Amino acid sequence: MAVVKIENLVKRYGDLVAVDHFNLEIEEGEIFGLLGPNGSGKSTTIHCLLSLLSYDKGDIEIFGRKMTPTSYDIKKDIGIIMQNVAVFQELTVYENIDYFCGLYVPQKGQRKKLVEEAIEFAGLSEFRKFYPKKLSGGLLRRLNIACGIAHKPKLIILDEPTVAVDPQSRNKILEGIQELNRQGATIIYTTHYMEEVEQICTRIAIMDKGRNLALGTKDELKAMIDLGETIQMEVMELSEEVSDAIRTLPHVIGVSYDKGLLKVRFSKGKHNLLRLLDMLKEKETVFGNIHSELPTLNDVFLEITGKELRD
Amino acid sequence: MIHIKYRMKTMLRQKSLIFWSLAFPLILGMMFYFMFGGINDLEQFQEVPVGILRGDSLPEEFVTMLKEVKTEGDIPLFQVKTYDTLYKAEKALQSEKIYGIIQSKDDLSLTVKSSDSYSSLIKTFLDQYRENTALITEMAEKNPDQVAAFVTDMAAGAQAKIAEIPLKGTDKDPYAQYFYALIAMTCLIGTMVGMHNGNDIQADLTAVGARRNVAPTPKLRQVLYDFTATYILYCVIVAVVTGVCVFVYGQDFGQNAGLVLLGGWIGSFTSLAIGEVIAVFIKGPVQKKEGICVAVFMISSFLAGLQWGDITFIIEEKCPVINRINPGTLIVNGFKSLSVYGDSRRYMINMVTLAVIGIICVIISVLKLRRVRYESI
Ligand SMILES: Nc1ncnc2c1ncn2[C@@H]1O[C@H](COP(=O)(O)OP(=O)(O)O)[C@@H](O)[C@H]1O
Ligand SMILES: [Mg+2]
Repeated sequence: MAVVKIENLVKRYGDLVAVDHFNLEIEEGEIFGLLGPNGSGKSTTIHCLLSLLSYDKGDIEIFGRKMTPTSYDIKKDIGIIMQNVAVFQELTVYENIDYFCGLYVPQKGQRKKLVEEAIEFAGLSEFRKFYPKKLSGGLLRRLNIACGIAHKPKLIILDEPTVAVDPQSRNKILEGIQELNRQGATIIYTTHYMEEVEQICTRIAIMDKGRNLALGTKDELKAMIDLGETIQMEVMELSEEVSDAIRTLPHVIGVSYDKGLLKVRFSKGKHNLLRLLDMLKEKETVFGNIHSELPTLNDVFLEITGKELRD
Repeated sequence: MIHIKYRMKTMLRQKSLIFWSLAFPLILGMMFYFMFGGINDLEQFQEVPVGILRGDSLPEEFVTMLKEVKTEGDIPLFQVKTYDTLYKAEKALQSEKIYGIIQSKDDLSLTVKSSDSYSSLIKTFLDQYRENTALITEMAEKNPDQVAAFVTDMAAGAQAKIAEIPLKGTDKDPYAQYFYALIAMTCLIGTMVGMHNGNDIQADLTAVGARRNVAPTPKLRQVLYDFTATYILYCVIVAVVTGVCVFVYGQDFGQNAGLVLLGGWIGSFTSLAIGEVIAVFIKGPVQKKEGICVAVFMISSFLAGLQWGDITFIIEEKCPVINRINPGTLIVNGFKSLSVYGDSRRYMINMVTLAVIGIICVIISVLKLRRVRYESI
C-alpha cells in the first residue's frame, strides 16, 4: 500500500499554475526526494498534501485514506518540518519541543521521554535552555526538525530543511534523516540541492513549473539521458582548429572553452579520454590538470528542461 | 494544561507586551497620583452653589436652612448666591457657576441645567423641605404650641439625612474618572494579546500557525487554549493594576471595588476578542496589526476620558452612540454609574453591552478561523 498517493493535483494562484497535474506515489520505507529549483512548486505540493492549502483539482490519500483538514487520525502519524523555521521565540529549546510534541502526545510521562529522545537525536542537549534567537542557523534548523519528529511519526515530510545551514549541521541533518528512516519512518524530502538527494534518497522526482518531469532512482534518472561523462582540462590556448577537431571525435556532444578550461561532454561510450588525449598530442596542444565527471542530476535536469537546476 | 502553560509563558516573556499591559498603566497611574496629590481627601467636598432671586418671597426659615445645613465634615452643603434678575441667574446656571435656581413660585420650584449629582442633591433637599412643611402646617393646626420644638428637631433630622447624600450620590472624587479610564485602558491593551493569539493559529500568517494547523489537536481547541491562557493572565494583570490603584495610589473605589474588578475582567474578555478579530480579518504584516491595536486602545481610551475627562460629555451631546459602543467608555461609564449615580442597573447595561460585543467578536473570529483550507500560504 502506498503511504502517499497524489493524483492529478492542480493548484492555481490566479493565472499561475503552481502545481500542474502532479502525480506521485510513495511506498513505505522510502526516502523520497522531491528535487526542483526555487519556485518549482515543491512547497505548494506539500501544503496541498497536508490539506493546508485548497487546491483546484486532485485526489490525495495518506496511509490509504483520504486526507482532509480534520483527518486527525492521519495527522497524528505525520511529522512536518516546514521550509520556514516554526518555533516560538519566547520558549526555550526544551519547551518548544515539549509544546509541539504536546499537540500529538497528551500524556505527560510518555511525552517527557519522547522530548528527551528528540533532543538527544538532534544533538541539542547542551542547548536545551537556550532561546531560539541564541542558536546558530544550523542549530535552529535542528530544533525545527526536533519539533517536527519528537512524536515518532510514521511519515516525515521535510521541506528544504538545510537551507542556510553550515556543512557540519547539514551532514548531521542528512545522517539523522537516514537514521529516522532506519527506525521505520517513510521520508519525503524536498530540496533544490542535487547532492543531497543523491546522497540519501532512494527515489527521486524531478519537478519544474509544477510538473513531475522524471521519476526514478538516481541511476535510473541518469540512465535516461544520453550523457556519459564530462571531461575537463586546463588548456593554455585553444585554437578554432583544435576545438573543431575535438568536435569530430566519436561520442562528443558538446565542447566549450572558457578562461583556460576546456569542457568536453561525451555520450555513453568507451575510450573517450584516450582519444581526446591522442588528439591533443597530435595537435601539439599543451594541457594541465585533467578531471573526468560522471553525469549528475543537474545534467539530467539540464537535459530535460534546458536550464541549470541552480539559478 | 501544557498548552495553557506554554501559552502563558509565551505571553509573559514578550517584554513589550508586558510593558504595555502592566508597566504602562502603572506608570500612568503614578503620574495621576502625583498630579492630583492627596487624591482621596473625603473632606474635599465642595459646597454646591445655588441661586435665589432677590426679592423673591422664599420662606425665611427655608433660606436659613439652606444656608445652615452642613455635611458631616461640617462643610456647608450649599453656597447661596443671590441674583437680581432671573436672566442673570439663568446665565450663571448655563455657565455652571450655580447648579440650580430655587424660586418661590409653585410651592418652591427648581430649575437645573442637567440632571447630575449636584442638581439631584438640591432636589433631594427641596423634597425634604416640602415633606416637612406639610408636617409643620398640619401640626400648626393641631398642636400649635409644639411647632417650635418640632422645627428644631426636624431641622436636625433633615440635616443628618442630607449629610448622607454627598457620600452616596455625589462625585466626591473628581479624579476617580481618570483611574477608571486607566483600568479601561489596561483592558484595552489586551487587544494586542488577542491579536497575537489570532496570528499564531493561522497557517497563512505565521510559521508556527502552519505547524499547529497540521497537528492532530483540532484548531478550535487550540484557539480555546490560547484564549483561556491569555484571559487568565489578563485577569491577573487587571487585578494587579486595580490593586495598585487602590492600595498604592490610594484611589478608593469604596464598596464598588469588587464590581470595578469584575468590570475590568469583562473588559479584558472583550479586548482579547477584539484583538482576535483584528488578527483574523485585517490583512497584512504583524507590525501593521500591532499599529491598529495601539490605535484601537489609544482612541478608545481617549474617547473614554483617559487624557481629558470632559470628552465623554461632549460626545454625549454630539454623537451619543459612540458612548454606547466604545468599549473604553462602556467600562468607564459602568464604573461611574456605580460611584457617581449609585446606579447598579446602568452598570449592568454597560457591562452586558461590553460582554455582548466580546461574544460577537469571538463568534465571528471562530467562524472565520474554522475555514478549513487556506487559499494561499
Ligand atoms: N501565496 C502565493 N501566492 C501566489 N503565488 C504563490 C504563492 N505561493 C507560491 N506561489 C508561486 O507558486 C510557485 C511555486 O512556489 P513554491 O511551491 O513555494 O515553490 P518551491 O517550494 O519549489 O520553491 C512559485 O512560482 C511561487 O511564486
Ligand atoms: Mg519551497
